[in-house]
Amino acid sequence: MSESLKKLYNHLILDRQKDLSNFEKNENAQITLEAYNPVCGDQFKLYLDFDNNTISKASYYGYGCSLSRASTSLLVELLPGKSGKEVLECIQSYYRQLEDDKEDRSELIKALSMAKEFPGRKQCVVLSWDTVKHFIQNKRA
Amino acid sequence: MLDIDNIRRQFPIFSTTTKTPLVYLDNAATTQKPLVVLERLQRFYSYENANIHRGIYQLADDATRHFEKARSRVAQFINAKYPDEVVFCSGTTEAINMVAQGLRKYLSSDHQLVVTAMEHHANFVPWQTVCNQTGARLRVIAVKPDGTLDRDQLDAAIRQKPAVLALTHISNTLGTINPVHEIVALAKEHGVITVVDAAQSIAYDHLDVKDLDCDFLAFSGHKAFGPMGIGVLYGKEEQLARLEPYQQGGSMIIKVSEESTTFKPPPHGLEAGTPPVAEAVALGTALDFISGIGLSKIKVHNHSILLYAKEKLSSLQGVQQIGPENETSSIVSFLMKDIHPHDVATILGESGVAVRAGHHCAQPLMQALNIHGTVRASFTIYNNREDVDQLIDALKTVEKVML
Ligand SMILES: Cc1ncc(COP(=O)(O)O)c(C=O)c1O
Repeated sequence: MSESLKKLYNHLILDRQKDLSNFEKNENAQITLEAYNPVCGDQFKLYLDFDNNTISKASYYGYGCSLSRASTSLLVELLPGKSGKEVLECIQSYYRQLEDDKEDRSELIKALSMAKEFPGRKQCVVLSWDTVKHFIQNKRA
Repeated sequence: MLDIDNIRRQFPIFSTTTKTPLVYLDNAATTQKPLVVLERLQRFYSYENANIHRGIYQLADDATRHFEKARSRVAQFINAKYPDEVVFCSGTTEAINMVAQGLRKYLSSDHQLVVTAMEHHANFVPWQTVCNQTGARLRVIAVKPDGTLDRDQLDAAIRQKPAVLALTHISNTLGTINPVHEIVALAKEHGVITVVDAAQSIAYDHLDVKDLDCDFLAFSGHKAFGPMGIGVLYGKEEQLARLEPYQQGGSMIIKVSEESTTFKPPPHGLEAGTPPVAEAVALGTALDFISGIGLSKIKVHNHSILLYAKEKLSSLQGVQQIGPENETSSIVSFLMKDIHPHDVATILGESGVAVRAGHHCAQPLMQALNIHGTVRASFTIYNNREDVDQLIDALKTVEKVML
């Protein structure tokens, strides 16, 4: 098995994709977003509740590969407690960490950053993040 | 017996010295190109290049002759009655759009069009679109859980005399071979216009449009060892003549004035603009390549590789094959435990094994089978048992990595 494959399918990603915390439907959420990648059919519902301008609760449900599941799980874990502005900062920081190996970053993000080395997989680790980013940007505009 | 090693040597892509040798199992998406086809392309552009149907000089005249000879070659390959029943276009997708838009003026809310849930988007979306444009209704015939068509539903739909039946010969996702002869015969009895998507059949089995008796048939050159960017719409002479040209411009006209234009008859009236001449000529060479080996022999070889692959796959624990058990072309679709097809394909790719994963441009079929996607391996003449063995080895790695 190649070194890069080992780095990508790191146990942190595999554990994370099996982790069911925040993996739940929330039909009553104030905001339901859909993260959809037509190329592979990955499709998540992202459920967000707000308290004033701050996200109070976030969960997700749907179907995706190990990378899109793990990255979505990380996203919804980070969202609660953040204002729109903070969410955008958090997403920008995640994108920087995916690109730049000099950034101080967690082992999980290190593993997710390997996606760009594999044909056609870069999209998997930003799918849900892009969806939330576009939503917040539109909301603020 | 075919000498597969010798055939394989005719494909430069397998001789490149990359770090891992290529195990190419994505032939349903596109086939690799033999040297003769590549050389034909280069020869045209090097020594024969001129625009066709317009130059009054030798080079242009020769280019036109090469192009028209390719048309005759295609006609002969599919046993069309006349070369002029062959329209060159960019591929299956354009061919089907040409028919759907070409029939548009005859359609209204009084009409029904029939397709199946197993179609590639190329034989689905153009019909959906023309229905939206004209008010005609689109009827989608169900696929049974085993990956075959619901014949009762289809036959009943045909008896209601829809305007058009558009049907794939072979499913690009599952390899299901539809009994197109029977179905077209029934459709003819009821006066239905039949459009057959032969994208997956052209390099798999003998196509004889006279015998099949369909009104239209479409395929792409690139799935038959030919170049990308060239494809064919076959149509019966009188059916092609009914089509409204869906593109207008140069080459396809007889007379243009400020007020009006008269179009050439088919096929030229349906070939607006400069066509991919070199690609058409090289498609002729690709068909010669196929005939040189013999389609019957190719079919036997492909089938033996498929059976070997199916047997090896069923010996792997947790692998579930999707689609009919018998009557399939050289395509096998499968799932591995609950591992996402793209994770499987990435890990296979690292081992140099190229497969397709996802919905295979057949989302209605995925919905019908209630799955999100599959991993698909598809075989052709240059694949051997070692390719299958490498696939199986790589699948064992997938298990190690993911579980
Ligand atoms: C059954 C079928 N129909 C249509 C197409 C579309 O062919 P093209 O993209 O060459 O137009 C394909 C190609 O994947 C196919 O397999």
